[in-house]
Amino acid sequence: MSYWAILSGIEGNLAAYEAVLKEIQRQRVEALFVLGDVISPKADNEKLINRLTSPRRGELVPQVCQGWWEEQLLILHGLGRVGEPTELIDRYGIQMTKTLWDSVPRHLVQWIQSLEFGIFEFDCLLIHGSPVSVSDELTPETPPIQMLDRVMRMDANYLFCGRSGLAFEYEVQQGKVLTTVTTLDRQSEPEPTSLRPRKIIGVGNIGRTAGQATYTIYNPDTNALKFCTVRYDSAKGFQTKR
Amino acid sequence: MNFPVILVAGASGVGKTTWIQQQSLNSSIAYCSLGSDGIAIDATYLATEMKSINVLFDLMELPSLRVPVYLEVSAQLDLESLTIPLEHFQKIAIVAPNARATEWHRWADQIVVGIQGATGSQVWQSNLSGQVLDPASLDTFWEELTEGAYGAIERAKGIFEVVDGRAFHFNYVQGNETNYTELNVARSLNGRPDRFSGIEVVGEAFDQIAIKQTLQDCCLADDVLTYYQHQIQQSLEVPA
Amino acid sequence: MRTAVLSCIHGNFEALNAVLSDVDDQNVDRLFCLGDLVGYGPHPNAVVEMIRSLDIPTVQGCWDEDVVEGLNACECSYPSLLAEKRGRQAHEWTNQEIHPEVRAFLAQLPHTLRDGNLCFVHGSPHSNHEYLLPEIDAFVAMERVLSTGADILFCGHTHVPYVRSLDSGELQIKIQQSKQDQSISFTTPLKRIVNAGSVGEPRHGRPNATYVIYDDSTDQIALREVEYDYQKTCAAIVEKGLPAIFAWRLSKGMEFAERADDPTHICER
Repeated sequence: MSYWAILSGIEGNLAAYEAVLKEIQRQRVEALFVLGDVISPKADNEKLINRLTSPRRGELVPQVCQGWWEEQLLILHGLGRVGEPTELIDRYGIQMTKTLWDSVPRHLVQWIQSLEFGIFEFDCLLIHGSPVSVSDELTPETPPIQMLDRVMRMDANYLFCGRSGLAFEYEVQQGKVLTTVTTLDRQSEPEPTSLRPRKIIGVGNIGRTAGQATYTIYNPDTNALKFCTVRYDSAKGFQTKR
Repeated sequence: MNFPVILVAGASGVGKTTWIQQQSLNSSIAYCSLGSDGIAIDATYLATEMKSINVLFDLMELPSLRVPVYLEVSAQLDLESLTIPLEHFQKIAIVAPNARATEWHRWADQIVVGIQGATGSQVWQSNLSGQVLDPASLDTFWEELTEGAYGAIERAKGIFEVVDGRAFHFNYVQGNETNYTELNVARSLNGRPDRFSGIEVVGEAFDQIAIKQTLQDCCLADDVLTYYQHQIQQSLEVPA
Repeated sequence: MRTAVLSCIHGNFEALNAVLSDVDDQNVDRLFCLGDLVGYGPHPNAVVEMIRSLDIPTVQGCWDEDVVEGLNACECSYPSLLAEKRGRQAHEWTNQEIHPEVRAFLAQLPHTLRDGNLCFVHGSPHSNHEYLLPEIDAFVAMERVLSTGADILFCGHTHVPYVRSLDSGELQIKIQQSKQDQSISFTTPLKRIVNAGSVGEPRHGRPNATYVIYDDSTDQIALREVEYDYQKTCAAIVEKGLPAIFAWRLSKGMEFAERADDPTHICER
């Protein structure tokens, strides 16, 4: 048996990340995925990125994909998918552009640019937001047809995401629809379409809440899933709670 | 020479090469194309596909051969002025099913019925050696060519190199589907290939300038070729 | 109310005239246009002026956007190097040909139009470059319509008209959060996607123009195919210096360059 550990939203919180790393070392975790938002405008991002990119002996090399904060930083450096940091300014005000810019040393921007948009492993898509964008926030309240569309876009069976920060399992168990197509030359008979079950998993959040980090353990062989919460105190160590 | 020399003539696309190929199925033969002017499409095709055929690219080796020799006479050569420096040779003409009393009938010792060939007087050939084509573009170009986009085409054949290093023989005669053969050659993935490729088109009043330009537009530039060859090499190296 | 929806005129003024005549004969009350007024065809200015003069509500197509932005059409939708070169030639020609006021008109076109329970887009609600082909997964198609809040989604971009009905849609969902389970059933009423085909660059194997008419009193959609003197367009293509092959491809009802190879391809650009 071996497992994947899937984290999201470290947000520069090194103590949280250390706590989770220590915890997953006790389990047979063979792969570590970090679904974006490793940086945050008010954190020591250089320290966090250095820790991420230089695992110690015996530690897994994390596979990291791009998150919302990373995309906003890239936009500021003229390297994003859009030209203007409109979303950043709408949410946090114009001052945030400077705060974010200052929070990541220039020499680390290249590393952020090198991050994949998403990671596809077996039948699982691991991504910060969704295949639509880093900003696409999938939650238990997202309309079912939209959830289904997101996981189907890459023809995945499992979509692991971290944008919402929530830990949840959303399973589209079954579905059907009757479809008819009329063209210039013919009309088809109504044809039923069904679908195979698919799951969208919110993997929780590591760094946003001080003292508490939630992440996901997944077994790719059995598809078993569990959410783990580590409580920690940056000064005194940590306790685990599941 | 004790072994027969057979000249094979007929209209473009009537089935000369095909008939010669059939003669090699049970015994070894030699082959040479007369009058193809360096556009050795049939010769190259036979050389790669038929191990029982010894393909000659000139007639110097004729005296030393010990097998029947088939000399395919290009439809563009004038039969009357054709001179062969041998005392004995047979003349076979491949003719269309409904053909009667043609110049080939008058010239030949023996008639073989083939298919309807091309009667058009316009012939265009191009040596494409060293050129590598994008396969999807080649498909589009060939469809346009054989569907009449560039004028009335009765016959078209070619050997084309594509980006993944393979070479293909295309053979079209009006009224028939194109025959495609992947040639039995090593993949060329290190720069431009150094083997023959080319095209021949026969018809009436077709736009050979537009054909040439379209073909050029199907060809990859050096930097693009280098990029794709590198990608393909990498993908071929990945173990299954 | 009878609504005619046209799309993808691509500078083919002869075809547009023929369609507008047919529209007159069909007792249509109003028209909508799904963009791609320019690109490939020989009379982009005349087409835009006609649409403007008739005040036809129009959304921006991918070609309209490219001509405004100075980009080339989504290169990922070119199926070959040859097609890409031809597309580039068409783009450069169109860019040179159109008048400043035509460019300004195309620039202010909206991405989407909405009228009651009808929605109008060029490609899909998500992107001008997404092809909504009739064979895309039914649930993906359903999402596209539902995302607009409309009952009927009119689209173009593929150049082959169709009507697709999505009926009796049902989804069974289970949600687990904070150790609590929840099961939900989700149903949808009849939804439809209607592709208006192409007025000026048909890809259904015949040179005729296509468009659609929706009649809300019968709730029926008719696919219209209109013959016109396409040879005039062919002659103009050659005379104006566009690639002559476009004339032949028009006569065969084939795409000039782009093709919908990848149904739900979304351009990264």
